[in-house]
Amino acid sequence: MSKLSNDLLSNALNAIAKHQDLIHEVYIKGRYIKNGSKTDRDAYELHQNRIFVADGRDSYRLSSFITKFFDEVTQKQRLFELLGDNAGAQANRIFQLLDEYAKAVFAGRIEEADHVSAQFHDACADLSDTFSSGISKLLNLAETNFAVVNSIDAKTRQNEHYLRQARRFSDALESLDRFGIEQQFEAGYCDFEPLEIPYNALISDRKAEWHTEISRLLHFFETYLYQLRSIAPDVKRFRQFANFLQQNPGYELPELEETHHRPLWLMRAAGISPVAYSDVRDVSAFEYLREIATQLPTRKDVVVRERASGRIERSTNKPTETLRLQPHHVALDRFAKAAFRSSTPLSALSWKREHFPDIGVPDEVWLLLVIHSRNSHRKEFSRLRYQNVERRGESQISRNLYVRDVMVHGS
Amino acid sequence: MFERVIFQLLEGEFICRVSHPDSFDFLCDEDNLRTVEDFLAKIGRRIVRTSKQSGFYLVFSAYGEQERAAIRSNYADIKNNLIPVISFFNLVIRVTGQEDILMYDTAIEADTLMGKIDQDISLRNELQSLGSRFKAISSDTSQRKLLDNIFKRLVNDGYLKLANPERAIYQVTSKIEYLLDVIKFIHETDETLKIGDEQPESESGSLI
Repeated sequence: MSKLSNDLLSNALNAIAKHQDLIHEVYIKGRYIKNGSKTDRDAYELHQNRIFVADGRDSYRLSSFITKFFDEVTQKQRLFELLGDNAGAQANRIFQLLDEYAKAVFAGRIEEADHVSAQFHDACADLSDTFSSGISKLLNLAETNFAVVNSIDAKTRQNEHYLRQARRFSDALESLDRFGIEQQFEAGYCDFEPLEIPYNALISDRKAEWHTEISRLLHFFETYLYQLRSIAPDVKRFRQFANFLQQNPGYELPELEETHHRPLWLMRAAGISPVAYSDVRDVSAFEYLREIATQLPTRKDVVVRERASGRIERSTNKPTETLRLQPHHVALDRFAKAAFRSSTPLSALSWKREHFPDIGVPDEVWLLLVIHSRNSHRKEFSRLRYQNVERRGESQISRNLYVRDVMVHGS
Repeated sequence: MFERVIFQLLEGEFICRVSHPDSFDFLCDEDNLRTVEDFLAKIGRRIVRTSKQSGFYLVFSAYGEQERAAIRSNYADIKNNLIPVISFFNLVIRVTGQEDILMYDTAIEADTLMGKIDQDISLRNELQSLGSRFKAISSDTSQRKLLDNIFKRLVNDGYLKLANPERAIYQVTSKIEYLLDVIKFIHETDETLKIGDEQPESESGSLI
């Protein structure tokens, strides 16, 4: 690159860095109008560096190249953009440069061949960039359903335009295939290596991807265009009817008459609510049931907490507990008192049979209660003396002792 | 899946890719569709597509006494609910400017809608009066709550599906095409309805 070119580039980059706020403002607002301030000088400097272009006598606009670059960066949608129009011409340029290169090589003009080769590389990069950025923008438009415009008519016109742009891309791709550059490289009638490398990297390797994306885009635009065109009369009718309803709020739909033609919507079976329970024994339903089970919300346990602070406890709310002695406890107490008062040892069994014959406690249990009462710390029992009436068991081996009665008396 | 689809149809659901994607895919298979059609034929019903082909719903295959009563009841239901629904969609079109709201699969962002309504007093009043047109929706509440209640009603009625609960994004189902069919019918049959002399553009023209 010559020194002059270097200086120009350096100046332009410096100007962009120095006046970035002004460039940003002009990109947003669309233009800069001179106002006699110091900023006019900055704008003039940008104009000298071809970043601003004159827009009438007293105003500047951002250069279209920079605007386009910023549009790319911000994915800004503009109306009726020319995205694929250049693709065909750029593809033709590649063919011409290829031809030019072959002629230069055959004529032995090496320097010229080198120059053409560099131009060919640039041409491939331009075409690759046109395809990539254009397809990216078209995909963005397709995803947002032309969000930059609102009405169905405007969307239809946008769709028609971008469908044409997508077809231009498709045609350019088709011409690349038809021209068969790869086949010419392979034929090897000339040393195409300097061209083959950039062509493969920038175009050939990406053609399959572009084909796929453009097919998707064409399908989308055609389908959406069909939908837009078919919905347009309905939308118009809808808006007319809605406006009519606004002007006539008391309007009621006509009664249904038997003579009316019955369209499909009128025959709609509006629905019943069938209830069915799945057979849990059916193994095939398991996955489906599990899917439902995982989607069921967990049961909420609602714990109602009453305010505790500042509350007066009411004793009346407490349940009344009544202590009640069991009959055998009463019998045991009375027996202890009787034994204490008795002048002779009192037979526990005889006393029970005499005073409490029907308390429902067998004699053996009664004797057990009496024997254990001697371990009680209560005063009524601790002052008594106990004498077991025992007999030895008949077994020679165990020699068990059997308590037949307990004689109790006061100490 | 067959059972699920049959039950959904019998319940009066509109099956489309937005409302019931699995069932819709099932019905898009010709063999499955034929099986469903055979079953429904035995109980006097048949499955049809909405006018723009985006969804399926159930219709009576005959017009007998029982069907007549059901159809009358259905029409009475439409009479009661159609006008508020139309008014709602018209409000959305006016607020967002997007006419494609009436297309199946379009998204409506409740937050954006509310933000725009908030900025315009006439739109706020319109929302308030719209709330009172829907039965069982109390308009005596905050604007946002009112809008949410209307959205909830339209989800229950099958016109919308809550696609993203966190961002409150709703999607229009294929039932919108049913609504447009009803309007078309009224437009064509009601003599008292004078919606201008201008007829909608020809529908028989080239679409592609």
